[in-house]
Amino acid sequence: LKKLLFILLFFVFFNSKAQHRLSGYVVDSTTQETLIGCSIRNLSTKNGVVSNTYGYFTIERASLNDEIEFSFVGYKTQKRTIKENTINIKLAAFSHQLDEVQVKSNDEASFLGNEVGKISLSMARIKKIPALFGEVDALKALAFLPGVVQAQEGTTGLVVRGGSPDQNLILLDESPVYNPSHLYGLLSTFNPDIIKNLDFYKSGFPARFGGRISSILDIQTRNGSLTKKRKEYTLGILSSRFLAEGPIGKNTSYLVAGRTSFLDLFTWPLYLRYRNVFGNYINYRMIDLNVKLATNLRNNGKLYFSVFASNDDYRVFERNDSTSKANSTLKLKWFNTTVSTRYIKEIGQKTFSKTTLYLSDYRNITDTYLTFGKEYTDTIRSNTRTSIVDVGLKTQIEHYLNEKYDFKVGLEAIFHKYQPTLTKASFEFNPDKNKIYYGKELSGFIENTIKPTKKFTANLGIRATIYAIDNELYNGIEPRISLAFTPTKSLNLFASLERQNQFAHQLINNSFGLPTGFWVPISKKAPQQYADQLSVGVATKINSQFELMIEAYTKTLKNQIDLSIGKNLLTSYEETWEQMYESNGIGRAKGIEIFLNKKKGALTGTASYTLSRSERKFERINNGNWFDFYFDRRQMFSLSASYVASKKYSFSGSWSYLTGSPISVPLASIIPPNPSGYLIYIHGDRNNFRLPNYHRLDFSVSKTKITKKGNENMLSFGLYNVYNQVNALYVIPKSRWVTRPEEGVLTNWTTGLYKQGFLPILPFVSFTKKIL
Amino acid sequence: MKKTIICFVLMVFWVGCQSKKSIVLPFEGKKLFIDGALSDDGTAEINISRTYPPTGSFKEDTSYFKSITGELYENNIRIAQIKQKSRNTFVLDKKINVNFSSAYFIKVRADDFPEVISDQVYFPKKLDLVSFDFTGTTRSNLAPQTEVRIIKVSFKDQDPKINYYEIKIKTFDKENKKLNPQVENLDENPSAENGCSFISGHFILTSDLCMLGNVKKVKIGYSTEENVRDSYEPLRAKKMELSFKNISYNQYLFITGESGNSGLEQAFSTKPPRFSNVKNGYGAFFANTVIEKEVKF
Repeated sequence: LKKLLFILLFFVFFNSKAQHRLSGYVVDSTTQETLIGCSIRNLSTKNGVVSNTYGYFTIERASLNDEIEFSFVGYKTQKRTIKENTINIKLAAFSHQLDEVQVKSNDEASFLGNEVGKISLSMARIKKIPALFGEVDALKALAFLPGVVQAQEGTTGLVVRGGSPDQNLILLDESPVYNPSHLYGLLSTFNPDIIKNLDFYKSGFPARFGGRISSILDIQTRNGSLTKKRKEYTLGILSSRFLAEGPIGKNTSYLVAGRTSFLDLFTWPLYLRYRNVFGNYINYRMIDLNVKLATNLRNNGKLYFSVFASNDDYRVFERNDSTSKANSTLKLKWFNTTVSTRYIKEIGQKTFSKTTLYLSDYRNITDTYLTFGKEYTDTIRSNTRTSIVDVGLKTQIEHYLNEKYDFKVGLEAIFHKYQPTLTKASFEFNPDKNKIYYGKELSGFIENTIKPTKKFTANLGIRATIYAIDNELYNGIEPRISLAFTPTKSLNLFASLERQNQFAHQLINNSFGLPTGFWVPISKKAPQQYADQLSVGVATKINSQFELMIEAYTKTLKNQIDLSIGKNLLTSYEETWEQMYESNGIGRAKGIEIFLNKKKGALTGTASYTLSRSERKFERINNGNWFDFYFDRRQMFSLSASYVASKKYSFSGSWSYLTGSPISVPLASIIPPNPSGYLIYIHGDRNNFRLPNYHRLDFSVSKTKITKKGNENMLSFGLYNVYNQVNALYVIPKSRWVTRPEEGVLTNWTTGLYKQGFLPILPFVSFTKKIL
Repeated sequence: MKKTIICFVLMVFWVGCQSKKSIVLPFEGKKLFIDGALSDDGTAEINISRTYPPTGSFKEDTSYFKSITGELYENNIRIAQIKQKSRNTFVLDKKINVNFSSAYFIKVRADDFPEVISDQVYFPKKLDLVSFDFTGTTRSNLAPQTEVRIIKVSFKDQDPKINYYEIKIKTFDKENKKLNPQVENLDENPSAENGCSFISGHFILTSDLCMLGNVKKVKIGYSTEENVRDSYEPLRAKKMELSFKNISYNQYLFITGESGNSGLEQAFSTKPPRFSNVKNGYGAFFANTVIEKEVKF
C-alpha cells in the first residue's frame, strides 16, 4: 500500500502544471439554491470536476481564456470564458412550459457517478417511483437498488448487503438520525419536499464517513429560496404537508416544512363505540417539522442552521364491557430530534472548510396501563423508555492541490448518552435496568483522491477512532481503498476494499420490525462491531439510453450480537439487556448485483437483480453452526418504470420480488407422554424455514396542471399491491383441539401457522398544490 | 402481565392487516419420542409417544403402542426388556442392580417407526443428604393470601461443578386422590428469572449456583389445599410424597425445554431446539439418583 501511494503521489506532483484556478459555487438562477454534482469541464484542457455537496467547485485553467462548461441535469448548459478567479455560476432550470421533447431528453441523470460506490438520487428521480398512498419516500426509493431491501413490507428500515437496519449511517444535514420511521415505517421521517439530494454508499465508503458498517445515507436538505416567497400544500391519506420558504433580507433564506397525519379521523367511529359501548379504539398521530435557515456571510462563508423534529404517538384503548371501569391502554411513542449548525468557507482558492455542531436525540417509549373490572381496582402500569443522545462537533478541510490530487482531512468528537432502558412500573422490576452509559468518541481521518491519469482514480483513506466508556478504552483503525479505471468513455471498472467500525449495537426483537430496537453501548462483552468488505464492479453505457452496472461483493462481520434464545426485550422486567444477548457472533455475506438503468426517453426506469447470501454464527446458537441471517434474501428483483405521456399525464409502475425471510419453526409436534392436554413442539435450528416469497405490483398515474397564475396542481391516483398478494409480515401459530376428559389427553387437533399480511390492495389519491 | 403486553402488541398488528393464509410446514416423517429415566433403585419408567407434522389436522394415534418393544443395555450388554405398564408408559421387566460406573442406554422400536437408540448415560453422584425438615408453615410468595407447608432440605455438595436437582411433590387427599400442589422456592423472589429455580406446577428444578456454603440448603413451599369447582370446601391433602433427584444438566435442559411460551407467545420468541440424546427419534433417557420421602398429615 505504501509503495502504491508513493507511486501515485509521484505522478501527481510531477505532472502538475502552472494554473489559473477558477473556484466558486454553482446555484439555481431562480432560487439561489446550490447545485450538488454539477459537472464543470474545462473545454480547453478537457479536465473536469463536479461541485461538492455545498455546490462548491475549484478547477484548473491553463489560461484565463479557457472555455468552461457548466452542465447539470434539468438545467441549461452554460459555456463561458471567465476572467475572474472566483465566481458564482447561476444555471437556469428548464421551465414547466418547455416543450415535450426537452422534457423527455433531460429528465434523468446517470446513476454511475464519479465516486466509487456512490449513488446519488435527486428528488426528481425519487418522485417517479410509485409509493404507498402516493407518499413519495426517499428511503423506499433506495429499495429499488440492487443489494438493498426493505426490512419488512411497508417499512423504511433498509437492509444493505446482508446487514441489519441499525448498521446504516443516516445523516440529515450532517447530523445522525437513529430512527428513520414514521407510522411503523410506512413512511420515512424525511419529508420529500425538503430533500435536495441523497448520496448512498454500499461500498467504497469514503474515510470521512464512519460509525456504521453496512451503508451510508447522506441526505442534504435544500435551502429556502433567496429570491421569492413560495408555499406548497399537499393533502394525502397518510400525511398532509405544507412548506413555506422565502428570503429574509438579501442574504438569508428560510424554509419551514411540516407533515402530519389525519388517520385518527378514520378511527373516529371506533372511538365513539369505545366511549359509549365497548371495544377497541386506535389512535395514531404523527408530526414532523423541518426548519432551515441559510445565510451568506460577508466573508464569503455560509452558515446553515437546521432543525428536524418528529414525533409518533400510537395508542390502543380497549374496553370489554360498557358498564365496567376496566380498560387497558397501550401507548407507543417515538421521538427524533436533530439540530445542526454548519459553517462553510472557501480558504484561498484551493481549500474548502466546513464545521458542524450537531445534536441528535432519539427516544422510544412503550407505556401500558391496565385497570381491572368493577370489583377490582388494581392497576398495572409499566413504562419503558429507550433513548440515545449524541452531541457532536466535526470539522473538515478539503484541499484541491491540482487536478490529480485532492485530500480531505477532518476530526469528529461525539459525546454519546445511552439509556437502553428506563423502566417505571407499578410492579417489581430489576432497578439495574435503568443504568445510563456515557461514551466519548474521537475520530480523525484523511482521504486522498489521486488521479494520476485521466483514466484512473484512486481514493485512499484511513479513519481512526478512540472510544471511551465505563472506564474502558477501545480503538479502531479503518483503512479504505477504492479504485476506478475508465478505459473508455462508456466503461468503468471499479473496486474497493474497506473496513468499517461501529461503536454501538442494537438489540432487536426478531419479529415484526416494530421500532423496539434497543440501542446499547459497546462493552467488554461486546466490543465495537466491524466489517471488512471487498467489492468489484463494472459499469457500462450500452447506448445513449441504457447503462448497466454489475457488482460483486464479499463481506465479513465481527463482534455481532443477537438476542439469546427465548429472550424478549418487550416483556422482561427482571433481566437487564446485558443478560439477554449473545456476543462474539460473526457474519459473512456475499452477492452479485446487476442493475440496468434506462435514463432517457419518455419511458425511464430501472431493473435490478441481486443474488446474495448472509449468514451469522454464534457459539450458543444452532450448536455453533452458520445459520441464515433474518434479513437474508437469496434473490431480489425489482422493476421500476415511469412514462411521461404528455405534459399533463405521467404513469409509474413498480414490481418487486424477494425470497422469503428466514424464520424459526418447529419440526414436529407431539402429545406429551405425560398427559397435559396440549401439544408440545420439537423445535429445529434457528431460521430453519423461509416464509413464502414476497412480490408486489404498484401503479400510479399523475395529472399535472399549470394554472394561469403559474402555480402547479398535481393529482395522483394509484393502486398499492395491485393483484392483492398476501405477503407475510409475520406468522402466528394457532391450534384447536379436543381432549379426552378423564385423562386430559388430546384426541383431535388442528395446528396451523398463519401468515399475517400487512397491506392488501389499496387505492390511493393525493393532491399537491404548489404556489409558485 | 407478560401475556397482556404481548396481546396488546399483537393487537397493534391485527389492525389493518390482511386476511391470514396458512403455511404448511415440512415434516420429516413420524418418529418415536421417549421420555425415560433409570433410577438408582434399579427401576425405570419410559413414556413413549410419537411425532406428528407440526401443522395440519390429526387424530390421536394409539395403534403403535402394542408393537413397541425395547431393551435396556449396560456397557453394551442387554440386561432387561421393557414391558407396557399402562397406555404409553413402559417399565423394565425386572429390577436390575445398578452400577454407578456403568454406561446405560436403551433401544426402542415400533412397527413403521425407525428404531430409537439413546446415548449412553451414567448415574450422577449419590446425594450426600444431611437432613429433611417437614415442619412449619408460612405465607406463600406466589399467593400471599394462602398458607403453604415448608420443606427444608440440606445436603453436602462435594462436587465442585454446578449440579442440578429436581424436587417433585405429590399430594393426596383422604381418599388417596391425587391433587395438584403448587410448589415454590421460598428462598427467592417469585418473579426472579435468575436461573436459580425453574418451577413448573408440582416440581422445582434448582441448582447449587445460588446456594452458598458447603452444606447446601433449599427451602420449598407447597400448597395443601385445592379449590374445587362448585364447592366451598377445598380438598385437603392428607399425604405428601417427595422425590429428590440429582439430575444432569442435559436433563435440566430437556425438562425446561418442554415448557415456556405457547400459542401467541411463540410468535415473539426464539425457541431453542429441545435437548435430545436419542438417535432416529426425539426425547431423552437419563439415569437419576433419587431419594423419596413420604409425610402424612
